[in-house]
Amino acid sequence: MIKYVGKKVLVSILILLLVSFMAYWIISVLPGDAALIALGTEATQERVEELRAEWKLDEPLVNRYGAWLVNIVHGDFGYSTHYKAPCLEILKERMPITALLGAISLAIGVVLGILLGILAAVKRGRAVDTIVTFLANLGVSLPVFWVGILLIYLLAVWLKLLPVQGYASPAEGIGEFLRYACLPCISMAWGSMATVCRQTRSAVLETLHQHYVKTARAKGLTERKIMFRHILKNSLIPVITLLGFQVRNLVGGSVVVEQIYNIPGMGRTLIQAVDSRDTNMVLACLMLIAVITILSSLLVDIAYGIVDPRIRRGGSEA
Amino acid sequence: MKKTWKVLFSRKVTMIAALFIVALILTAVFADFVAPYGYNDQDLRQRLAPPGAAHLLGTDNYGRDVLSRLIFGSRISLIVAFVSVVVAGVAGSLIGLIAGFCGGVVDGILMRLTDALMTFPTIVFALGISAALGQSTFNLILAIGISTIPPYIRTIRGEVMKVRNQTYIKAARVTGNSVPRQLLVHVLPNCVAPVIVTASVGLGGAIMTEATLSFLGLGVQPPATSWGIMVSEGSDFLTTAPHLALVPGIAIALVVLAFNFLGDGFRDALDPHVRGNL
Repeated sequence: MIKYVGKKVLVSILILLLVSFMAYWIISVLPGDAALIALGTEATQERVEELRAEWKLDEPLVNRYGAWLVNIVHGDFGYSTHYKAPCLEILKERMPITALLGAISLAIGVVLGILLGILAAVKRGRAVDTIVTFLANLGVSLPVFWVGILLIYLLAVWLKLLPVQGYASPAEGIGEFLRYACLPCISMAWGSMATVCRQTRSAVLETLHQHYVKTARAKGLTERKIMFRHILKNSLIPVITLLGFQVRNLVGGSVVVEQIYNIPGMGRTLIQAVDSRDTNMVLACLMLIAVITILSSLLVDIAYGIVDPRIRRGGSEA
Repeated sequence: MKKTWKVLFSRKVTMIAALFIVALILTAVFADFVAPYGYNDQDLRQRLAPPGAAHLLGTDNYGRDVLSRLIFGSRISLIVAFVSVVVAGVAGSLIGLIAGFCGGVVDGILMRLTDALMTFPTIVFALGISAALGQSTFNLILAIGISTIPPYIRTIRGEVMKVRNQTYIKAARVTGNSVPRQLLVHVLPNCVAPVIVTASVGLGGAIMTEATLSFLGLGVQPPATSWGIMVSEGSDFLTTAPHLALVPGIAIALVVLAFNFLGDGFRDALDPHVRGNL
């Protein structure tokens, strides 16, 4: 097990390095001369040369990347030209908001998704199944941004129950926080719930026909015992794999949802940074996202290894 | 294969989904003849009109016919989706083929690159691309295409590994076929079926992503129109004319739903376990 975890951790670090290089290359090298872009076309030749020397743009790519990486490892993500402050300071304020909303959405999506999936599978072919399956299909087909707008229209504009947009931190009172967080979280959770529900349903259905379930039934176990001991335990394993994907999707969703609901989180920061060509901030956000997604898939891999011994014995790939 | 088609269309849902997609493609191709108005024709006396006889789905804030814009908008949405899926499908299949067939170090390197590619959600990836290269339809296709490669790699790779040691591949090797010929003539045709499923679901996903990115202002740029732009423009008028944002959203959902159903249909038709039960 230790060997398995160690290997996974090493591979994750390798991937993170790979991603950081790709990101650095695409964001800071591909667009062209950063000094020229920063100063505009009116700048004098001397000023451009000066800035180029200051930013060390004349050095080879590998050196620049290395210097950038060393800074990042020391917690220095550079200075944000848009926010006029160090990137890390801005992200320290904004990241927790995204993390909190994301965690709530993930919890809602996964728990409801698993419950509904099991319900649909057990009641296969009946009205409940039809309704749940329909909702799940709808869930994976509706774009996050449109669900967000629909919810604003229904609950904020039409019924006037909730505020249209904005954010209140839990420090300002839990009630107030929930009033603002409710719609964004539903918009984000909706898609995860649908995906998890579909996966759970088909996994449970697949397990229903396994020989060990027949054996359990032949032994005379009660249906309840068969369900919890044999079917659920085995069918939830593939659902775990999905969690890593869900974290990734939620990060994507948070970008959209924060934009719609005007929430000062990381996603909105990323969009603003892209709009204002704030290279350092874009890179800082990308690296933060990379760490989150790679870490979550590492955790999923480890969890998978714990739950299913075949995986950790079976070599590198399942 | 004939049986697959028969099973595929024996299901009503799949059939309806397929017909819907065909109809959609036809209206997009023949938009100039089908659409009642031009997509930029402004009738300033008829601004924000609710759905009615003259304008079936109403008009927007410039008095442009929503139905016509929907039809013309579907062109860009479909083109972006199809091109990006072809890009991702071809690239992903080739990489997956090589990874699965070579195995060993090559496989290891390619799969780590795949993992790296999977790190960013499509939307974030596209944000990165547009930060570097600017915002255009081409960059949009590039972003969606590249970031959706991994599923194809994984699908094909898995299939190739199953097929690789079959007797007929060994036979092909022994009879002196070159490696590329073995791959393209013998391995690939036996591995492509699951890609159809991935591609079908991928088309729905690409339409959704295109809409999302255009909604965020990172994709198709006005005055060209796509469904995402329509939702984005319409969202300013939620109180006065909610249909502007709701109608294109419903269109997106229906198309994505249709592609998903088609993908489900293909998956079941290609799966011998399920086929037996139909």
